[in-house]
Amino acid sequence: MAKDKKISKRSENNIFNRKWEPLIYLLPFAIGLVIFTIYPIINVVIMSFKEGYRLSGAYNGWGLANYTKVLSDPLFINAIKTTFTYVFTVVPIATVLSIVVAVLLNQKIKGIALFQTAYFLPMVTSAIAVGLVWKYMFNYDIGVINWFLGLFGVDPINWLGATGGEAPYNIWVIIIFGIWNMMPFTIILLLSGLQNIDPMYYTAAKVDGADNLKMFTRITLPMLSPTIFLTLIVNMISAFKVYNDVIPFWRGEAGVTGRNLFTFVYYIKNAFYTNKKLGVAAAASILLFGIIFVFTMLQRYIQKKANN
Amino acid sequence: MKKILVVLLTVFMAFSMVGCTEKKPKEKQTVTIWHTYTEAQKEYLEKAASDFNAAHEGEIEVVVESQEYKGFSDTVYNAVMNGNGPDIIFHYASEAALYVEDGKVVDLQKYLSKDLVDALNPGALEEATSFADGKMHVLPLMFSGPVLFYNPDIFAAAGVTEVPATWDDLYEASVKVHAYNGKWGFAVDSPTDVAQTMIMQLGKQVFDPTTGLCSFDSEEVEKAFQWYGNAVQENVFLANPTLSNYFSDDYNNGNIACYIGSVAGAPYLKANWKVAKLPKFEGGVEWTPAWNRGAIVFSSNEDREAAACEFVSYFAQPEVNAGWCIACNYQTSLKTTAEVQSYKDYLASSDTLNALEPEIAGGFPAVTAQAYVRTALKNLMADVAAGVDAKTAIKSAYDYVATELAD
Amino acid sequence: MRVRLENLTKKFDTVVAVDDFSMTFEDGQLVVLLGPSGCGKSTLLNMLSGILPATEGKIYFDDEDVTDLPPQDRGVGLVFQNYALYPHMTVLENIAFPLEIKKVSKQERWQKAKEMAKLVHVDEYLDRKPRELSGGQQQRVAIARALIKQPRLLLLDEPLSNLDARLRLEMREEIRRIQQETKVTTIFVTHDQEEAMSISDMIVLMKDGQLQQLDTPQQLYDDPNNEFVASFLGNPPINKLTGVINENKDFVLETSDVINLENPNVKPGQKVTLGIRPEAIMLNQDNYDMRATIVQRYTMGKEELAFVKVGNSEIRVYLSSDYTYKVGDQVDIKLRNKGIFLFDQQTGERI
Repeated sequence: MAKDKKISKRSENNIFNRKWEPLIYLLPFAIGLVIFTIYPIINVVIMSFKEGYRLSGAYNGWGLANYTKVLSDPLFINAIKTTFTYVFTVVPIATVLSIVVAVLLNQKIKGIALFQTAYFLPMVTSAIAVGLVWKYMFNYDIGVINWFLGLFGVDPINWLGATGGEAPYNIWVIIIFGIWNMMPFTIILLLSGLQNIDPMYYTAAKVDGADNLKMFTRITLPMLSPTIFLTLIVNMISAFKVYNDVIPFWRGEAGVTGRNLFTFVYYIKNAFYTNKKLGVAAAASILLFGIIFVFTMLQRYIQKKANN
Repeated sequence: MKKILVVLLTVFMAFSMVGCTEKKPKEKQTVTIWHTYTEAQKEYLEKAASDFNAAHEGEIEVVVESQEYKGFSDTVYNAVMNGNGPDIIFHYASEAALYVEDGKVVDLQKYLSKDLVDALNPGALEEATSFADGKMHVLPLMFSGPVLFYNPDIFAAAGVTEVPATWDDLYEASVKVHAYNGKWGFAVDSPTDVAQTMIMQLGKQVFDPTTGLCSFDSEEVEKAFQWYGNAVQENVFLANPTLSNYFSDDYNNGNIACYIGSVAGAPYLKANWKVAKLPKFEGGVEWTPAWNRGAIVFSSNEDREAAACEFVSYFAQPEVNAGWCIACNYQTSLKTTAEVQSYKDYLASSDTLNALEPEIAGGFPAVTAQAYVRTALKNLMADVAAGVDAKTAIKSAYDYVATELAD
Repeated sequence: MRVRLENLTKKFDTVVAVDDFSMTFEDGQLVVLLGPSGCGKSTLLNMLSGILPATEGKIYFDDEDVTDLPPQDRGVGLVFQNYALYPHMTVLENIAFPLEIKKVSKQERWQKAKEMAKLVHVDEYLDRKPRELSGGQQQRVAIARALIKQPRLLLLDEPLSNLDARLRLEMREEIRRIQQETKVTTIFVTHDQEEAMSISDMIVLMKDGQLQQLDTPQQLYDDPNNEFVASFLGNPPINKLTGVINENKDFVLETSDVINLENPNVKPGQKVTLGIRPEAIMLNQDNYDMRATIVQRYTMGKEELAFVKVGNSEIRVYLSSDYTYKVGDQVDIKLRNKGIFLFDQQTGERI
């Protein structure tokens, strides 16, 4: 009897250990997650509903005022316009170009390592530092881009400046720079995707007489599509948060007038740091999160549809 | 569970009782200073503190603590709000303004002598007492500001014989430079300050400190901004640096013949340079911007506040303040210091500091609206530079401040 | 279609993968390229498909020289070891893909693909993706895809090696059936001698890039050119005993047993290997050629076998059920006339 009791007690102990031990191992990470991720997120949500919230923690009351302020703010409308233009030009163009470059880099050509290094260079350099080089390249008078266009008889373009209150080319500066910044990481992902395609598929298609275009459209693209979707999602999320790509060109300001290229993050930063309107910044952050969330879900839905 | 609660409560009460009984009338006070200075400035501050401590043995001890430059403002704010902040920092009036509403900064007039307050430059005193509650929350100790850097070689080659003293001179000189080398005559490193300068010199207030609303609109002001915008559109002035984020690079490259920039920028100039006072309007008000930095004392208890102000007074003494200004390469905000011989000698040796004008140097009213107004002025300058007509640009500056104030 | 090779050679740097092959495969035959791994059989197949260019020599399809033709112009269908079915296409799309490349109209190619699917018995799974099929079904789809353009030559590269034993037997027969129904000349690569023996009309047996023997399966078994051929084919494998030839041109074992082989080609003093198929051994007859001791008994299916020791060598023999043998028993061995081969020890050539 006594013996039985002892055994049952020990096995109970084991069950206890088995249940709690993994949780103890997870605890340091879980605590970090709660303190540094979950708590701030909840805090932002709460903050966004506090009206007149100040640095000291005082606020006037609860409500949707922050959201109505954000949504009726012409600067925020401008931020939506700029950010969406940026996202829906940079992401598709960068993706298409990256696919082309990845396919080319995947060839067995002599000296390919040099090209690979050249294409991955932006990844290991600071976007802001390199941005200054790009600023030089966009220079109206001495920039290499206008010089190059000049070779084809194109009149110099006022990329960075404005004339008569209009600065239509400003956005193209950050689009071109954004594409250039986005490509290396995309190419790396796509290259690994390409290298996962068994060469026998190409051999099989070749025996059947497929040309390069047919192989690209019927084998490479479909087999690469999971990777392409992955890069689309990752890039779209980062593109919605565009900020670093704007900094180098106008002394940290959003465009030549300081607001013509207001993006979501600029809006949030301006509300938070410059105007110290924490509730407004929080509401804008939540809206940005919502937009990113909707587009990510949309993409996943499309991908699922495409797979079936 | 109940037991634990009881224990906790007991411990808690015990501690709070200790807190109550601790208060004694005369006791040695420890005053903490947080700063981000390095090298000579840090040494000077530490030496001043130890001299002060030696003189107040057993009464006051000043502790100087270095803080990370990055995020200093946030660090201080969080610490002060949590009740474990410093007693003294050295910063701009606008920094003190963040704490006014919560009553976390001391009214210095309560502790400082009238003589000391009276020794302030007029502009510095005006700024130090411009807080929303009308009290004095900063003791300006020194100031810097923008000056006009110019390249005498380019001016000479372009036929500019006299250093521009008025805005019109500046424009004419720039036209000559542009005609001479096809580049730009003039640029503005800090558009906000130049906007404020032009408004003040035209006899207007940038904004009304009580309402926070812009109050600078007039025919002259509109004309001045239009003038600046036109000059940029004509490629006579340069609004944005072309080579980097700093005009010093354009200056070094010969892209601009002169620019308005901070005194602190001089070490970065590689091309031949000379310095002059800021341009004025003919027949206008004499005014230039001053970036006053001063001592801010945070609220604690009366004894400790008094102890902190004791050190501030000591640090504002002519000899001490003179050394501090020299270490920082700033002009003093105190008229008393200006009489110190070592300071006079130092000033005489520095062309850049000499170009600052203490008698007419003024600040920005230190109220919440200042941040909005600064942004509005910056946008206004950018707008007219981009070719927006001044009337529209001024209107959107007014609107911006009004909307931001509204909520 | 007849396939003729003329001095066909493939070298990779210094390694000769296929050495001077000249041979003809007749129209409608199923030829197996057989040999251990690394023998060059897949290289030969790839040269036939056109994936690999020949270093020297010629390939003729009927009378057409196809040596320099690219794969797509040769009219060959290729089935890969891993099937190489496109995972993102359905069975129907996979089968129809070669016609899609040829820009055949959708209606027509789907019609043909359905016919092909019926031929290989996958017509129930047309809308499925390859990953939803079993290995055998995938194999059938791969064959259908290879056949849809009505190739002159069907090439299969170790098509059964990824299947389990049961499926392998089934697919082997299926491939034979399909080949006979379509009558397409087929070349099949394998390293499995049993597979080769059961399926083929002709076997090309290779080793180290060299042709060992080209023959019908039966001929290859009954009349091997050399020791390698004899030992590569047959399960249980052939037994080997070494010995020398005496003055009477008889074979002398290391046990000093003398066997009269009546082979006129031997020379006295020649060192030779005697190859004996297990089924060529009779036990405990009236007279015997040598004596042996049973070392170990084992069964293979319904057959009962034993390792017996002759001198220092062990050989496999079938045991008849008439006797009950025990380990340690001595048995008398008598050789039949068939299934006995004599090889030169040095060259391995048949004498």
